[in-house]
Amino acid sequence: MAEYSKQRGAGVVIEALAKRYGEVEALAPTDLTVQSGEFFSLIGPSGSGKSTLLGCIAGFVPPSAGRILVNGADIVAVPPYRRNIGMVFQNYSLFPHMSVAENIAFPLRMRKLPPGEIAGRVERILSVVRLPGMGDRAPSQLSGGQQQRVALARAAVYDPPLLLMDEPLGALDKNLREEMQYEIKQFHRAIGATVLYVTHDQEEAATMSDRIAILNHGRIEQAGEPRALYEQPRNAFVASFLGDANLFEVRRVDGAIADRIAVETSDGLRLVATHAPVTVARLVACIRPEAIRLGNDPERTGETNVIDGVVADVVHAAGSVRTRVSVGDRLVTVRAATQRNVTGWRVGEAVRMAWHPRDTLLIPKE
Amino acid sequence: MARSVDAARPWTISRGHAWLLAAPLVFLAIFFLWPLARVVVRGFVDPALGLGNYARIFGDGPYLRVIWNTIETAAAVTAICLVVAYPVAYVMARARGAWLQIMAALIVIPLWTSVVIRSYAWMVVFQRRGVLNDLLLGLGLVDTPVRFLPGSIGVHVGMVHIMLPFMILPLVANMRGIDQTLLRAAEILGANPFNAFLRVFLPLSLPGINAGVALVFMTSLGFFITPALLGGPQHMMAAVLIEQQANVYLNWGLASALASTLLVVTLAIYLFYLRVTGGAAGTAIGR
Ligand SMILES: Nc1ncnc2c1ncn2[C@@H]1O[C@H](COP(=O)(O)OP(=O)(O)O)[C@@H](O)[C@H]1O
Ligand SMILES: [Mg+2]
Repeated sequence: MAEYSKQRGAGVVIEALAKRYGEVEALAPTDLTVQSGEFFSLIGPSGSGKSTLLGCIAGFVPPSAGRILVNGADIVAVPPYRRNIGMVFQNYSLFPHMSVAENIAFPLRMRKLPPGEIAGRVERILSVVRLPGMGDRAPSQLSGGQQQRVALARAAVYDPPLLLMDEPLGALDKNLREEMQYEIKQFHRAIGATVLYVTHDQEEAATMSDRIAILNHGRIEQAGEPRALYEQPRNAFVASFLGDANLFEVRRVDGAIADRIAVETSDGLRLVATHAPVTVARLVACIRPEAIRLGNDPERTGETNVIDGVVADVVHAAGSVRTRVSVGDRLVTVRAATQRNVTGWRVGEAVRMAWHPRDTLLIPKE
Repeated sequence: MARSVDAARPWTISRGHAWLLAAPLVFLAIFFLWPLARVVVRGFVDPALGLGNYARIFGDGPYLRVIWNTIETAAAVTAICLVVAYPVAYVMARARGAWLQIMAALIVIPLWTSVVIRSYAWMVVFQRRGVLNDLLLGLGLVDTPVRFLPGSIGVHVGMVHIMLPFMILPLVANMRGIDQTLLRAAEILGANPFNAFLRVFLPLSLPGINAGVALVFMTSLGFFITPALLGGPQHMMAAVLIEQQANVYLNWGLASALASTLLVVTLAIYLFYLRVTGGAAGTAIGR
């Protein structure tokens, strides 16, 4: 990355922000704080309110209630063109009748910068996004990845302290997406702005973000660092949305001895955990696929969760093996790193699954 | 200023489908090109071989004035249509559901009524004891009825009324294709609504403007019924003059020469227009 004058990102505080479309509650009253310079992702299924939240911050969506404070000032009444926020859209939204350089110069011209300075800035940011000398091209002459980099450059060339990105990589294929994830991270480090990033891809969010908020039905289910969300999901939705999860509904808590809590699942399995929330009526047991060890040697110390099943399918993906084991009428997913000279399991083979009680997460269903 | 968005060649036809054009080409050759060629030739040979007819047209007579008046009228009608149609199209392009249906119907339904009837309707409005004069007299704005007909006001109003849909429809088609997020992008980048319109929407609507302008201007040059009914000798247009020379004075040679002149003028203006707009006028219709 070429050198770039770094600035301080804006702190964003959202207070009881809500949006209704008639009967539809696109965004329930929501509170959120994003730190200066943070890379913060909003994830959630389609229709969960991610774009609505971003649109409120950008100024395209007038909120029904609440406040949006950027560096302490409420911007709800400020029109988009005076908010000084950068935004990258999913379909790039480059102006087709302007060249790459004209696109990037557009926000600078709107700010009435002198032509000499505009040219200098455009040139500098083109080299930051590794497109030097491409200024005269038409956007349609560029590849998808290049267009996205132009969109990034255009959104950042006027040094906005806050950058919004709404599924910016949604239109790219997987390889290019991974490359661009890396570039956006680099770019974020280079410019220092606060980034609010929307994606429906939890893996993308996990690799890129300092913190993540998971939205569902217009509310934030949980916000925190990716690892915390993965290891301590607040409920079943978060557990299943972030990474793979084997979820078992808990029918009965059988009682606790020391730090061992035994539960019975609705499919009649007996599991052991170390913690359980006290006040919650309906619980779910969540076991991550990589916590489960496959073997047919039952006597292993400490692994008091043991379930027998039959291998249903085996998939070798890059670097890992995903085995699905059928237990009764459900499938349990197990993932392990591929090991050289170790053959996987065969479909139809009887197998025993075992894991440690601390890997049985008892969490609220809702 | 406007870069061609896709440089794709608009005039390519896949080879396997070329034969589909055979029938219309034969039809055009027999019923259009052949008579057209005869008209052009006749302008040079009737009543005598030579440039006599053209000498008359470009001489002192009223002919050149009529051709000039035709171009002027067509240009004015086109300009008025554009100014009136652009906001209408802008609203229509954003309308959804029932509103769109209603507006589209309001524009298309007049097309079901013949031009003759609509021109007569304007006569009812503009004549000596017509709707407009009754109104002006009733309001006390004038003491005696104003003489609108025959004359240029009636011709302009009638032609604008008839041509308006042909300006609105290509504009709407074009504007509906303009990506709304481009305007949002412009705004978040710092463009106020006026600048967003001027620098993003307007340039992107140029293909629609070009299509509408070409359509309305070319059609207006050949208008016959409306100027014939509303214009009279005070506001004569080329088609009326040609008809008169052919059917009243039986000057077939002069009529042919006039028709050829009108054709050349039309072609010249069209080619000039293509140059100015970088070929966009031809491709705009297909967008
Ligand atoms: N302009 C609108 N009019 C009515 N409903 C809308 C509008 N925009 C969004 N919604 C609704 O609000 C909810 C949230 O939408 P959105 O924020 O776009 O979700 P996401 O970006 O997470 O996919 C959805 O149920 C959607 O149907
Ligand atoms: Mg969205």
